[in-house]
Amino acid sequence: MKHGAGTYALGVGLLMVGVLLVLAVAGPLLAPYPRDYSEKILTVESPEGTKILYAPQPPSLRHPLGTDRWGYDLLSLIFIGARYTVGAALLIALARLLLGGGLGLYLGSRREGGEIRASSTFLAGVPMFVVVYFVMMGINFDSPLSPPALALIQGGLMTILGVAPLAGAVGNKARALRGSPHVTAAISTGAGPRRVAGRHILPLLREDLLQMLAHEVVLVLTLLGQLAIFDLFFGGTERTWDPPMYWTVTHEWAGMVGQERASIQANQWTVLSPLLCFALAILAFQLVSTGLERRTRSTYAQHPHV
Amino acid sequence: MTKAAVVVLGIVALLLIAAVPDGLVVREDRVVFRPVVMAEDIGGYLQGIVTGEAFRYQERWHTRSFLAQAGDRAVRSLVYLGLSALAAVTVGLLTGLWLTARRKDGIREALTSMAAVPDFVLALLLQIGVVAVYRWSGYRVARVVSLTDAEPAVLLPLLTLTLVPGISVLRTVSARAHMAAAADHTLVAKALGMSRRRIYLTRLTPIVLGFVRADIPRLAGTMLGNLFIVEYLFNIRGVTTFVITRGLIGGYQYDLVMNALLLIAGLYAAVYLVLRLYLGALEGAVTRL
Repeated sequence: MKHGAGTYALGVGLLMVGVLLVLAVAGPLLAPYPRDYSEKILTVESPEGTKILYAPQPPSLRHPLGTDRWGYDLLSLIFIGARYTVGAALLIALARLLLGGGLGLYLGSRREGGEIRASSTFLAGVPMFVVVYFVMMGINFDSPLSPPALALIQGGLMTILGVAPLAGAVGNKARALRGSPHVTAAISTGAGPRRVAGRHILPLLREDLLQMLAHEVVLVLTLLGQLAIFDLFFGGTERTWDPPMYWTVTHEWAGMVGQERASIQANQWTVLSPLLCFALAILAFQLVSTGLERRTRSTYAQHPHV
Repeated sequence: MTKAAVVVLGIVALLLIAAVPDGLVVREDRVVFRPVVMAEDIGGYLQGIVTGEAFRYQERWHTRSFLAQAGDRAVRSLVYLGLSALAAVTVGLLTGLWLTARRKDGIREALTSMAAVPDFVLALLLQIGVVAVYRWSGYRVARVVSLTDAEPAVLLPLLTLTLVPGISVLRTVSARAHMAAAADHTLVAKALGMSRRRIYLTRLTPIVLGFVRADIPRLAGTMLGNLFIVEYLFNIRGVTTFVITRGLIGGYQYDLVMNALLLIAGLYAAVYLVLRLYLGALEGAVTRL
């Protein structure tokens, strides 16, 4: 395995993640149009005379990603929604890592033993998004709760559901390290479990934990996307009956994809623009994850004999 | 945990999960937990199994029998799932072994990185791509949605259902084949004069198949998640649309959702069995070489 490939992927991934983080923090300030600005009907003067343009408008210099059916600039909506997409996914992944990683480190560094199994075989056939959907469906649609409150409830639920697999993964890595000579030496000289975990195991897990964080962001984004396909949008779903449609309150990107998914035949840019942004966000964190993984692998690479 | 305990715990978990939408609601700006309503849902369902009421559901203005409707849908879902599961394992296995043997690391890394592409992104991109090709050339590559049961979308749903788990299998196979190729027993086989092809067939493939077999529960779980997305986006009248579309839109029907979840658990078991048998047959064939 070439060391350069992993470093290149990591570099590109980190650059993309950096841009996404800037959007998550300052998206509304960087948006070219204010949140409530729309161009349902636009009169344009051209050499051929006066033209009247109706929303949705296709991508142009005026609106690089086009407008939606109500005339809102899609690029602005994407900037505004970055906080509830990238920011939220990162925070949920971080919470999963803190809780799951902490639990795993605790379990793995206590004593030696077999593999820590964290999956529930009796629920193997139920996808995680179905569980989140069922819990949120009585709360999320036309909710009187504020978007941050709804995001907190859903984020908390998604965190809890992700803790066990992470605890298992970190626990097994910690348990493998616990059997290594330097940890055995530390224990034999009287180091307690807390010192073993903090001083002797955690430093060796640093790169693994970073890789797991990036991977968890990918998983959280995927989960948000799956829920959005069924009209459950992060931060709240509003329903209208004429026409019967579901709207994202926060403009999170998966929600924008979900609300416009019927536009695959006409006005494709309204679904394609948020879909590509969402896919790029996933790609960014995936590149970081695989870049870190490849870097670790190249350090301990074994070369095939055939 | 014994198999019977797993089944009992699974059913109890499903009974509870299906009752959550009625048990957790917002009333006057706060979230209210209603365990009594959940208990009523579960009790009513269990009673309904005896009386037969649990197997009736409301579809707009009609009362329909779940048992009469479920058979066709279950078969349809199983055909999509079974075909794509077999295709995913076959394609993932062959491609993974070939890429490792040929040392095509660049292609392998590119393909395994695609494992992160979510099912719905793939499905939507395929649909948009087919529409774009049709507009550009006038040629319809595939149906983007099922308009009726007689005109089902086949190619795009099968592609979506195959590619996502297929890449996952490829990832497992290439990683394990790479490790096995670097192991001492492979060096011994090479020193004994075995050809490269024979080493791959008789030494590495059985090891890799073992790891794929161990991965079946995760694979089947992923595929069921994909099935929800695929049936919804391609408008396929399968079992999962009972859970989301019919069960939830226009009023929540606990009995219908619970029956559908049980059927989906049955689908999981069926896919698990299909893959176990297929991989068992492959292992048998390889060890006879």
